[in-house]
Amino acid sequence: MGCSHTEGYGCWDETTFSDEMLLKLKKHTPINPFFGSDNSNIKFHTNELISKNKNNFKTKGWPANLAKLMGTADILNLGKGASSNSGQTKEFFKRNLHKNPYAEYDVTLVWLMTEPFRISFYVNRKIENYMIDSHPIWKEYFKEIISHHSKDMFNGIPVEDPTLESIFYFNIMETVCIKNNWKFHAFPLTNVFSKYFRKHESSDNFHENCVMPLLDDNNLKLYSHVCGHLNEMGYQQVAKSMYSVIKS
Amino acid sequence: MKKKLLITMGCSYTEGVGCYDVDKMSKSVHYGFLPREEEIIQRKNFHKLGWPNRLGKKLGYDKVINLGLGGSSTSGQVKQFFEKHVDRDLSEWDVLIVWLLSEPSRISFYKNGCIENFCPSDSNTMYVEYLKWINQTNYDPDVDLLLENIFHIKIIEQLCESRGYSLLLTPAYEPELFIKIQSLHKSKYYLNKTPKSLLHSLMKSGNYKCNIPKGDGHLTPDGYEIFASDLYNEIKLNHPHLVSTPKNKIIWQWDGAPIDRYGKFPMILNQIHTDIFK
Repeated sequence: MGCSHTEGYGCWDETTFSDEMLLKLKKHTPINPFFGSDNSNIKFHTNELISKNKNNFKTKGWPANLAKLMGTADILNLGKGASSNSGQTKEFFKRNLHKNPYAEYDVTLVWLMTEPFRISFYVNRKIENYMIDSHPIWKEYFKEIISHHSKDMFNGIPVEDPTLESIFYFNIMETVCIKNNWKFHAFPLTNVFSKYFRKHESSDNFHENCVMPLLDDNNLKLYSHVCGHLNEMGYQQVAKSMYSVIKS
Repeated sequence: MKKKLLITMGCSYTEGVGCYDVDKMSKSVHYGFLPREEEIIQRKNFHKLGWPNRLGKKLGYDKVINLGLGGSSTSGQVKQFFEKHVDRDLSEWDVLIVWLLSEPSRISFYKNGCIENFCPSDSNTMYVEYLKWINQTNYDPDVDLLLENIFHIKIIEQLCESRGYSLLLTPAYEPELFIKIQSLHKSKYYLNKTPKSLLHSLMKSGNYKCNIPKGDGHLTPDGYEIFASDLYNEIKLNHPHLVSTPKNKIIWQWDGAPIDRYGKFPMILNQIHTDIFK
């Protein structure tokens, strides 16, 4: 379970890119990625392009790599770009996976929990996720939680209240896993909320050390210059870090 | 044989709002507007004389823990349950949860380290924005609200199945809305086999409204007694295995206050009363 980093977003197959895009890409680095640094590039970010790369995301993201390391036969990857921890939990229940359709399997649920600031609601019978500054609903949510004097700020957003929300969803998933006799491992996408998570939740199923490599000069090769997410090599490293924690 | 524990979840109707002791009130206003000392007295009265203790006695349970909190949302109630009870070992108890589902339009978020519930009547800008979006759709906006509720209902169902607790669900709102929930979510935990709202029927009769402040539709102690009897009769009819010999007295506890991490809420909300109900 997770967001775009679980979906495998970043494992681009550049043979699917147009010549124009390839030319433009040359100017970009993971620090200054093609998507994100220039709004005009958004025209290249089409459903067609994503669709052509879906299989790459699926086979080269951390879930596929971790499954190989663990010797796992089957993977169900619920990773969805831009989703929130609440939205991911809602999606899990919407699919009735809590009822354990995998009784004949030895199941391990691995959750790369996304940043806690995202929220979700059902709108039009669909689970809609709202990222930072993405929507008027999120902006009102932000106004609501910002209204107290807090020392727990990250980029001007309070961390502790959103982390309490995420702990609630973590506890839900932990309950499901205990009930279904599944193994459960949750990892934070960033270190930002780990310390607050640990302050309020002591479960051994949450591994507070971030498995994502730092985006610094030493690790640039692990990141995509297309979108700034990890690339194939980066996700391999995430899988190794996760495996090392799970094994121990 | 294990002792029997009844846990009740819900909003003001479960907290027991309406059971005012009028002799101890300086003015006939909503409890939230009473002087602090009077509010404490009235809320203790609510907690003692509401339906949960009455139902616990009728069902023959040893103890009642009432998590009901006025103004709370379905999601807020589930968050509260997880905060306070998910790590609690109740393996020595035979547990039944009766959840009087609150109107589905309420939502909750953590704010100031505490669960905060938002109701349509609050005119909160976040809430107004949310309603604006769901009302712009081509679908019945109730369905979006109900899907949020169903998600939270499924969570408690999971928790109960995980722990071996019994669970009964019944609405505090009109049966038409409950029919919609039942069409969207099949569950073996509904109190009635056919969609029915016992509380709504009683409120509609208009006979047991507390009328404090004037026009308030919460029930009087007599109203809650009838509601508890109605619940008992339905449980006896549809879930007879959950019924034991009635008790003369039970231990009860109100534990409806959310965890107050930064001490921002009045003391009354932080108190857990434990008492005997005869």
